[in-house]
Amino acid sequence: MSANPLVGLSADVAAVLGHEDRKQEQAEMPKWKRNQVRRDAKRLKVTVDFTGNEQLQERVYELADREHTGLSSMVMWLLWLGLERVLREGLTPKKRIARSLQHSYDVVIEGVGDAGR
Amino acid sequence: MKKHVAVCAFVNQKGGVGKTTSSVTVAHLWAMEGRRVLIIDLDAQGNVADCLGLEKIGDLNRLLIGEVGTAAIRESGRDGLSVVLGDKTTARTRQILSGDPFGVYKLREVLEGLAGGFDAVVLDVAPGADILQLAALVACTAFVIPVSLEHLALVGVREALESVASLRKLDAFRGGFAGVLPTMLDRRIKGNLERLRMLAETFGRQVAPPIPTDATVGKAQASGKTLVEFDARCPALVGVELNGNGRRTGGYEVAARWLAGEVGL
Repeated sequence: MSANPLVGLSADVAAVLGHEDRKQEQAEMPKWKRNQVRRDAKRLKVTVDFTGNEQLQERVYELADREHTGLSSMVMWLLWLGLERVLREGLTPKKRIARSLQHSYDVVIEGVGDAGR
Repeated sequence: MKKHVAVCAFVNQKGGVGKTTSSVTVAHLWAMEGRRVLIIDLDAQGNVADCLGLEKIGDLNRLLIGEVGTAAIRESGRDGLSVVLGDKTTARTRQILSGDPFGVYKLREVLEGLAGGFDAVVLDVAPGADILQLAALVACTAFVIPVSLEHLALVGVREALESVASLRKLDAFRGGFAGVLPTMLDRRIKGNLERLRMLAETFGRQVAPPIPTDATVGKAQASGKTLVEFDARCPALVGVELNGNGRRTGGYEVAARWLAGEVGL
């Protein structure tokens, strides 16, 4: 195994060089492989739909603004916190029978409404 | 116990690498975090005054030659940030110090007399190897080398390190090498990234977060405002997004925090 040349650099320098290395690596891949990597990358992205949850949207936007951070970073961080809590406490108290045929339950957040349609 | 004052010199024997922009921006960011910061312009061009929208005055000459001491220090109009400005009389200061066998120690003596009044002193050093650059290296507790990734400024890094090596032989240098600050990074240009990689391979973790190239820098200077005052969200300050995930990389805000850690602030 070859040593990672980016180890031991400040995080920002490693980020710039690592990003460039990944771009270079992709440029050298055959087309089918490059497309596969793009498809896989798309699967890692989730769109958060705030429709019907204006209060939640407003609070997340406000928080991101106040903390001078990007919206995606903020959502990611909240997701991580939420995940830890759900793994600890379970989701049962927040569940309500769904009317949809596709999902058995909706998740309800107090004061905000349905989040898991 | 005597209070630790970080004296940080921005040095590169090559001009146009972002020494003045870096020293003014870092000094202002440190001051905004509640520190008392003094910036000293050791360049006869007096560009620190331009960057801060102040009139060019020969404060440096008064500080080092005129025996007025602290009276040469003036307020910059920004909380916590004081200045010793330079102008064409700086060239005369250089001549006088060159003729003095102990001229190289003059700045250190003066700064030791000021100790206690400031948490940090930032020295903006003129390009070229002269007595003022040596005096800055003798006076500093740490030095940083801004390097433009736009052109071949890496030669200046070697020259600055050679100056330090010769001072070490004379036992005159007491400071440490804080690191290299890559400036004017344009990720679209392959040569820029190659130079950054070369710096990373040579200096490892002593390469500061890089500063992206940004037209705002020139506009801020022309208007006599610091980058923070001109556009607090500009890429040179807050860095750039690499992956569209909201996380920003590089920029003076993280570089100033990184440097504060390196100089013991």
